[in-house]
Amino acid sequence: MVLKLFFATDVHGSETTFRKWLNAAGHYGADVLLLGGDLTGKMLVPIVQEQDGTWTARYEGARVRVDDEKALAEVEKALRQRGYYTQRMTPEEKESVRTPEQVEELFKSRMAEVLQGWVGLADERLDPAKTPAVWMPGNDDLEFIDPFVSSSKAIQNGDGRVIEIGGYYILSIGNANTTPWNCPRDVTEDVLAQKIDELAATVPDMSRCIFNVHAPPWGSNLDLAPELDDDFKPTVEGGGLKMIPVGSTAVLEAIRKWQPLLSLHGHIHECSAGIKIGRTLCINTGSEYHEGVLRGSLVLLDPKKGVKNFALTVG
Amino acid sequence: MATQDVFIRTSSGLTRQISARDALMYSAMNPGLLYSLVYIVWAPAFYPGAHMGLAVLFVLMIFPIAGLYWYFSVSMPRSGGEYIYVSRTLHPALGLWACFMLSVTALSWTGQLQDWWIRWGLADAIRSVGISHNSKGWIDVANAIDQPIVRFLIGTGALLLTLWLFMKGTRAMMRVSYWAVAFAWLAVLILGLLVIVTGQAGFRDNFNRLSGADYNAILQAGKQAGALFKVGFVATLYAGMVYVNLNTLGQTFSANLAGEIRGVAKSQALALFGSLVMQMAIWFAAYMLVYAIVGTNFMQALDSLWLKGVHSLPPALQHAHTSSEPVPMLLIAFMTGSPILQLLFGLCFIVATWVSLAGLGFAPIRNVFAWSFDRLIPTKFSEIKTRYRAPVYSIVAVIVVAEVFLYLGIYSPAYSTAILYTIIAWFLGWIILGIAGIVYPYRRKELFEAGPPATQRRIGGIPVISILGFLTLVVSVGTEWAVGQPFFKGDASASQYLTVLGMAVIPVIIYVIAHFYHKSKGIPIKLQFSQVPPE
Repeated sequence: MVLKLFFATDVHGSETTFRKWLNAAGHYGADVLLLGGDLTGKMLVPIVQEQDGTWTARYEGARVRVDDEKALAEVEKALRQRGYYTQRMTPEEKESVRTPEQVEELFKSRMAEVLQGWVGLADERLDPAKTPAVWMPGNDDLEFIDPFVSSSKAIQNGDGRVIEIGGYYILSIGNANTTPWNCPRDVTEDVLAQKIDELAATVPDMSRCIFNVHAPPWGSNLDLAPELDDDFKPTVEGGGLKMIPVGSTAVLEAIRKWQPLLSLHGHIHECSAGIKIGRTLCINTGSEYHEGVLRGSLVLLDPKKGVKNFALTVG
Repeated sequence: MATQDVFIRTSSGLTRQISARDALMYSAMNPGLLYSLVYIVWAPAFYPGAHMGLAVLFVLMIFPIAGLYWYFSVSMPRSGGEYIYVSRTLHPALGLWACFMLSVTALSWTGQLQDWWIRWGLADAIRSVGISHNSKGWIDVANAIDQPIVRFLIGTGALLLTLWLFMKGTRAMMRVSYWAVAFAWLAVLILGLLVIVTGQAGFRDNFNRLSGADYNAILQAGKQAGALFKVGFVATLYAGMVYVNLNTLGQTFSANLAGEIRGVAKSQALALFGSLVMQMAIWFAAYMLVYAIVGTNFMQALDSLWLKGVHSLPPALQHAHTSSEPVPMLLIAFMTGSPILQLLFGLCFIVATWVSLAGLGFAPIRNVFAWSFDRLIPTKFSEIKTRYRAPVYSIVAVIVVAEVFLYLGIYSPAYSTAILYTIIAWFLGWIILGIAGIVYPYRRKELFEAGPPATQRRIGGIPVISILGFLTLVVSVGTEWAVGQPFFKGDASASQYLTVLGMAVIPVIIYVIAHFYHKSKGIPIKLQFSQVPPE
């Protein structure tokens, strides 16, 4: 029997994108749902209550001012759809958030609240017996979220595990090779290689193994990102951005060595594609969480033929 | 760390942004800045009474279209491009159709317009030296270059050089792009110098001495051939809508980079609108300076005589193998006796034109890649060869298509006359884009409402993007009407429309084949693009 798998990744706190992922099984007729790493958002918009009672939010070059609860809720919803966290504050409260630690605490409280909401939603909507689902944190996600990610009854936290579903072995690792930003789950190539090897050694049959590894393989064209200068500003040439490979050499070597059936990746949002490394089909779905667009991949797995077909979706 | 308005935490990929100046340069460089030196012949010939200096003002009609691109690119910054905007708003088949029309049009320029710089940059510059020095040898060389087989071979060589440039990477392309802009400005400077040094009286004397015809007689003959020596508003409007606005096409390519631009709303505004202002300035200067040296009425007369037939032109301007447009690169024979200036002026046209053609070929490569990526065409075209770090199959396909257009342009001049078909095709694509703009807030309500605040502005309760979509539709339909005038008058061949019909049918066939193929493979295309409900 052909197994239809749907994979998306890098939702980065976007309410719309996560909800679409939850609905993807019904929409695409998928048998299994996978959600790659980077579950949490990167930005938080303070919505400041002014002295006259109105609320003001400034983001993306605009100033939005509303004066009633209904309009305020709509602004919050719109921001959540795009992956922003929101926090209602007084001007004094906003001014008091000064240090990186204070900012992180603010983020943590909002992340926890949102993840709890997502777990509740997933447990309500997904039947794990009918549609098995796996998610995991990514390199951008703070480690404190792990208990939340593991708390769902409907979605299994795959990070650092091999999970068997429908006769296929899903090996998941949310870490990435070190980035210029030194993100919470960045690790060295050596550590990443060791993690993959240790897990891969436990897989009974590599021809039925699916790597769900956040970082894409280096130099695979699934990992092209703009080259940054010393100020983290991208280099431009020829009227376009100069793109360089930023993936993981450890992931590349692991795929070459273990040759799993399928290897699913994220991390580099603008580099969506499917390529072959040896016998392994490698896919990076990319991400457009900010626009509320669920980029994903549908893969048909045939017990005899392996990967029967795949398509990159824009949902 | 805290910013003034938004708190940001440490995470990857936050600072991938390019500056507003980069975006502006990118938009400004794509259209051919010196095509204006050809349109000064064609436009008044087909629309007698058109004043090209004033026609530049009608570039203002492109501003609403640039505005629509601004709204779309700010709403969907990471995606970019007409293919995405139309696919996500209307239907992937329409996205492919609109994008195909724009891409093939741009590609046809990459191929066919190689012949422009060969004829009017290379051959006519050499011919101008021959005319001003009464040298049969130089004129023979120009005639030799004008032969179809020679032009085809030179054009093929230029396309191979373009292929090499694409394979070489964007760094090489950037370098030559800056040269293109520099040479365009140099051409304007040369014209300015000649206005001062030679002036209209000097031009008249030189013309009478070297052309084998009399300046005043040409004025009379031109008048009889249909030239109007007064500015016609409708003619200028049509000339602006068709030829000057044609010259702006390509300046919206910055939309493809929108996701990486810092302060996308302000930067894109600068890129999309600022580039139009820059182009208007260069073209206005070029047109007015040519008129100042040659004489506005005289230029109109030459244009009308050219349309009437080559043999109506002065003997010195008649070419043995080509259609003899009296372009400024040839008329410079009567502006100066300096072969250095004459050849330099031709070189300006060569560099600015060849580089712009390479630039216009970039977008189709991306689009072919995108269609392949979405499985509308074989996935081979989206393969990136590790050795070259480039989509080699897409690049080769683009060059092959350009070569076909080069061949058609040289050997089927009736097919390619005045490249009117490209305007028809391009604006058909923009008609679809305009419709997408109109309905976007209603068909993709969730995307519209989740968009940045700046994209949700309304006037009288109507979303601004819908208004801009409507204006894009109106301008595009109006342009199609203006393009049709020479055809209705019998001055242009119906082959223009047959060409567009052919271009329009191909993407439909591609989509139908892809539809049935992927349906048989278990993942229908429709499913691939369908929207997952968030609730």
